[in-house]
Amino acid sequence: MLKDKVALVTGSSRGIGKAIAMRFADYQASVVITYHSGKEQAAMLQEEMETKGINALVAPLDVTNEESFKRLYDLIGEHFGRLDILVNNAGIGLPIPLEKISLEDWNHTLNVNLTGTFLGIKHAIPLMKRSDSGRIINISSVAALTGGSFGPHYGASKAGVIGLTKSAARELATYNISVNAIAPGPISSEMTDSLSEQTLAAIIGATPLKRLGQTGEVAELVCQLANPFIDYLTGQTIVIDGGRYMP
Amino acid sequence: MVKKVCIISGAASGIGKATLQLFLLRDYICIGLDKDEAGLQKLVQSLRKEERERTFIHAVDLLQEEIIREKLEGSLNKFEGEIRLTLVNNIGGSNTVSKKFEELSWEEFHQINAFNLKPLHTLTRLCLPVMKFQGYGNIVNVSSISARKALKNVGADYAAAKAAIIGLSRHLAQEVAEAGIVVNTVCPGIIGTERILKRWDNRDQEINHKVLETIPLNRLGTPSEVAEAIVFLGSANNRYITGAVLDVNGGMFCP
Ligand SMILES: NC(=O)c1ccc[n+]([C@@H]2O[C@H](COP(=O)([O-])OP(=O)(O)OC[C@H]3O[C@@H](n4cnc5c(N)ncnc54)[C@H](OP(=O)(O)O)[C@@H]3O)[C@@H](O)[C@H]2O)c1
Repeated sequence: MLKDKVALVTGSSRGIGKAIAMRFADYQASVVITYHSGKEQAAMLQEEMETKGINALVAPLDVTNEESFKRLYDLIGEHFGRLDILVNNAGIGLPIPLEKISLEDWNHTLNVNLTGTFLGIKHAIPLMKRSDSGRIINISSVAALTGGSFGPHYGASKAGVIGLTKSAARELATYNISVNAIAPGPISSEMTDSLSEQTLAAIIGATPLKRLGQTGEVAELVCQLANPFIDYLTGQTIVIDGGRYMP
Repeated sequence: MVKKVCIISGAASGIGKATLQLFLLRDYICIGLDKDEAGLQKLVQSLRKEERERTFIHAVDLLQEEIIREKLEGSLNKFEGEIRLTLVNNIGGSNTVSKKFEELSWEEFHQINAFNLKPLHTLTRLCLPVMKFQGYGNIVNVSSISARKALKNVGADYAAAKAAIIGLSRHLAQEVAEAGIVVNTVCPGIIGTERILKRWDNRDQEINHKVLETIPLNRLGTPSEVAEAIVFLGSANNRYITGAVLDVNGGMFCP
């Protein structure tokens, strides 16, 4: 389905990002993997893909740093000459209650989750304009819509991503680049490992499907959105949370 | 072997037809229902031989509960062993000329509601026991942009019927989740089906131009673009999205 497409997944050294990168490889896309601290994991992932005959590129990326993004896109330009799919996945969530959030925590969370997404989109445009059907998929969170277990700094950053998604969808429609957001509920991952058992039990209790989601399920959704036959879907936020929140 | 089966209402044309074709590409056995017998026949003729063998059609008036029951129970009983059943409640529509609310009699209002809801009610109730027995089910209901946003040239009867589908889907998702059944809604924007294109081509282009201006992508959608959304929610790969509404509208409405 995605043969001949080039997909960049930010923060793909582990977790959901890694699952997305692997799913793209399953669909035969060329993949750009980025890491922040997890250089070794990223290299292992690349190796795994190459043994499957997938063209995979690995690069360091700090999404809060504009220069870092520019270097990454230069590299992608040199290597592939194009970019069809951008998944802004890199994100952090440190569960902190409102009164304990320092200005530093706040700024850092917004920088990674929201500003990082903005920078990713902004600098991708020149390359993506060359694609006949560009795709930007931003990983928000159901916490943006309901409030959540990771605190207000996280919820605010992820709500910002949804606003950004809608405006970008309007502007980039001219280049036939669609922009959508995915809002996962709690997905079984290192991030949810940081939640207390009590919190997890409460979440599962309130989820009609009575379980957490799996990284592979989010990854499949991302790939379906990247499907070139569905250009008309843009500006939307898709919730994947086992039916806990039904807007 | 596990059989993947999909039932689609309103399969003879437009979004339903595109959906049936796409499910066939994904190796499903498809059961297409429609009143338009000639349309169904034409669709079957257009398929490859191997696909034709996986396609069953029933020309029925979808408002006739008893007849649907007879036809479908027969079809469903044919499958033995494990089946992964998907139901796409696609049939629906409005009158060509929409009246203002003040001019809509209760009978007219009710008629459009019944047309959009009764087949969904019948088919869903027919499929649920099978899905529950299998511990697997996937239902996709097709609503409309009209349920999401007030549009000129659309009546309150249609807007109400399509909004009801969203409420119903959300509620059903919750009721049947523990049985392993997911339920979602797709809301197409303005889609260039043969029916819409006919209307579109025969009216003042100035009006069309104004409509296009409200769509960021500046064009109508295609039936197959909506079918892609239906198939991805409705296929066996989706086990965690439930109770969701997916808008496929070129950016016309982004909730
Ligand atoms: N897990 C959930 O339940 C859940 C639910 C809803 C939404 N989400 C969202 O889904 C996305 C992925 O979550 P996850 O659970 O997979 O998280 P994770 O396991 O913690 O992985 C986060 C990824 O982001 C990278 N990263 C962190 N800071 C970065 C920075 N400054 N620059 C570039 N990359 C950076 C990490 O790279 P290194 O490891 O290389 O440092 C890692 O690859 C996030 O946006 C998260 O908010 C997750």
